[in-house]
Amino acid sequence: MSRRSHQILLLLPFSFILKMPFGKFIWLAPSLTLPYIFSAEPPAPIPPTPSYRIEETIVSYRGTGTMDYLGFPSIAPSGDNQILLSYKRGTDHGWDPGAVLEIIRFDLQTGRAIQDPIQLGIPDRIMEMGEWVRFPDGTLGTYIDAQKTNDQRQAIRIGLRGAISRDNGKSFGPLERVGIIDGVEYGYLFHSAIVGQRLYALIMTFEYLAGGRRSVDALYTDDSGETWHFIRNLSQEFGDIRINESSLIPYEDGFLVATRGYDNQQRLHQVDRDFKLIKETNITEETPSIRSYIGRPRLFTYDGAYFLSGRNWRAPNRALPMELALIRFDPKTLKVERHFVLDNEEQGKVTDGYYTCPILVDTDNRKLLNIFTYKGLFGNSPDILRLQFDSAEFLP
Amino acid sequence: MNLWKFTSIVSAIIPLSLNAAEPTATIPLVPQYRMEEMIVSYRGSGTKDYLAFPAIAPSGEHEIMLSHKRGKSHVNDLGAVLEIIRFDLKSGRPIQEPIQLAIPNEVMQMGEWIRFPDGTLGTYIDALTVDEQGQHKRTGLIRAVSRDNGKSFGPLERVGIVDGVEYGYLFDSIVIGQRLYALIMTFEYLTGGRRSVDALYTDDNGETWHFVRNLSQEFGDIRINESSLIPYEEGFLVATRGYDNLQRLHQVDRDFKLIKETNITEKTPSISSYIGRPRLFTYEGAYFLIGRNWRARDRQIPMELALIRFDPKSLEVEKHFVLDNAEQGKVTDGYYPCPILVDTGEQTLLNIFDYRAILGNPPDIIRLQFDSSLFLQ
Repeated sequence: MSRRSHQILLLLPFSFILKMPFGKFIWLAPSLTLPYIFSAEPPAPIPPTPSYRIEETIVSYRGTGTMDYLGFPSIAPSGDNQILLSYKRGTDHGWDPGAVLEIIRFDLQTGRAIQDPIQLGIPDRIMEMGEWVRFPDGTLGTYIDAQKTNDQRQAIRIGLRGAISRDNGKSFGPLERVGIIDGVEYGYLFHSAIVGQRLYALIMTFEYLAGGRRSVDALYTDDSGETWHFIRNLSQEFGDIRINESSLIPYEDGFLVATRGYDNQQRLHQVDRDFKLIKETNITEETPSIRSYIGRPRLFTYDGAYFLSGRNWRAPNRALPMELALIRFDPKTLKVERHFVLDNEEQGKVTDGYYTCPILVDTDNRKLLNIFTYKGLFGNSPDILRLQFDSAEFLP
Repeated sequence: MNLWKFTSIVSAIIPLSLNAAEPTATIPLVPQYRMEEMIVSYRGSGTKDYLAFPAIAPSGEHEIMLSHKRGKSHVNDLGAVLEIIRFDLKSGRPIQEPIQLAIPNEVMQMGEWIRFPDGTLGTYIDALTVDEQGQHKRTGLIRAVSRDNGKSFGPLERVGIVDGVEYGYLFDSIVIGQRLYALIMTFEYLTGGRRSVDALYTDDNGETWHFVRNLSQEFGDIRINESSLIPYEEGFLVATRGYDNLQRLHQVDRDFKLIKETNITEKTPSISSYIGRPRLFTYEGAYFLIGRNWRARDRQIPMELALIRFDPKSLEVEKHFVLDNAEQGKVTDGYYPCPILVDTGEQTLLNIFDYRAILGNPPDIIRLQFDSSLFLQ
């Protein structure tokens, strides 16, 4: 309906009111109310959205009492059609001493938890942003961005913590400080990738930790996490940019890296095996539907296509609510090919959410892209969700 | 404080400000499992891209006939047709080429299926014209009959005068024995000269219809529009959408004489107006009303898809679920739902066929699926 016809519909009742008997007006009024539903704003383009979608609430905050803030899920495959799923259970987004990391085993086929929750915590500390690492020897580690708060309610990293499971997630050893690596203490482990027997990881350090700098570094371990080695300071390598959450994926003889900039820019970089920059793009600058960084960006690939998923802000200054974005890009040019919206294309009041973990699940009929994420509405604490899509819909 | 430290602290604070824009509001009851499929999309279909007002009729094992309007807009839509597809509930795909029913220069609005006791399938359409002032005028209820279970349809025919009245909009029907009851609305400018929702019946599979009662009058001379009915005890339960923006539930006997009624808008804080295109249905002994709901007065909050479980004895609302748009997104048109239960072998899914538009665009026809047991708890 054009804007002009909207205006005509708005005017119609008033031109008739003057001429018609009251009884007739009552009958006509309800039949003319429907267009008012639609006339508030001119139509806006709908972004590409998948036509098939399943949404499940995996863990809900409701009725759980005080520790009802569930956020920041992370997943690790742990067997045929099952994963380990960790998330924070606390009281709010980031200022909640006592928040624990909760771990469940989840059956991808039935959609049910199949192991009693395990909680990892340190009294009076915040167990934020647990991230799984599956080492080449099969050992499973969860690495936690452990924090405390000061009198000003600022979150202060106390150094990266890890807990190791040698029985595929049935039990975990104690939470241990990862400690100093080549003179630096790290805080927040973002992502890892295995090439041969070597595991690479992107980890962030903070200026108040040992080392005295805030940077995202690339590290590796050849002994399944016993010792770690510094490769490169990516903040410096990418032009002394200030970056936070990042992701990596093997590509050709090196990697692709996604970085969330403190300057509200989302970048894609191609690097060699030593994390030397080959090329990069700023997708925020180049993509009208991406107006800031992508929150907790994650890179993944299937069927030859490359994707970035995470939280997107479509309008400047967060004028529209957050969305869950899936961005297909060309790994050669690092240009965005298609930007899908996986959740909240209708611009509802999603007030927190969309740190995503993707995994492909084969069913009898089709290959489903499963996205584990968290979402809060109307300022309430979030739930942990699983979304499922037909993975073929996102391919060229 | 140096700039670097300031930047770091500001960045750390940003996530909290995501949540601080508005005070925390209560989240309504929403199902924990939900599947959503776009059945027919407007995108790329050219000019006739307004798809709405779905109606369904079971047509075999795991299949239904699904009709919807294909036009240009919600109203003022001359040339809009009724499009019919056969839909496989298991595979989620259409399994028959679309059939279009139309009358040149008229609007085929609100097709409603009737499955008669002899198996004949009819689609009844609220045919409209639009005059020079842009006002809708019903041209009288029309129908097309299929005697091969929806593979083909006879010509569109005017249902004609029934006991001195011409009807326009058929809402709902129900079979009891060999008799089919229907709620149909007539308009003051059609033969009969009154605007009312009437109960009618047919004993010969739609060949002849008979007036039972004027429900607008029976329910206290209230002005009502879209209505629904379902058998209950010796009579029926009826849901009516009032022109006074009130949603009522009524219990009537077999002759549609009022036994009791409630006004659920007045009694339910989460329902501030009528329920758009209300439909009654039942399973596992529970009774439900479904349709478009406005949660806040004056439509301050966008429309939702409501599923309301009520006690058939007291007609009181037991639980009010939100099946779509609990997050209050910009759904700008939609939610005339059609429910059907689908047994998958593992669980019984409540399927809802509906239409929905966002951001002011034309709507799509969608299917939502839920674990039906969630609504019984």
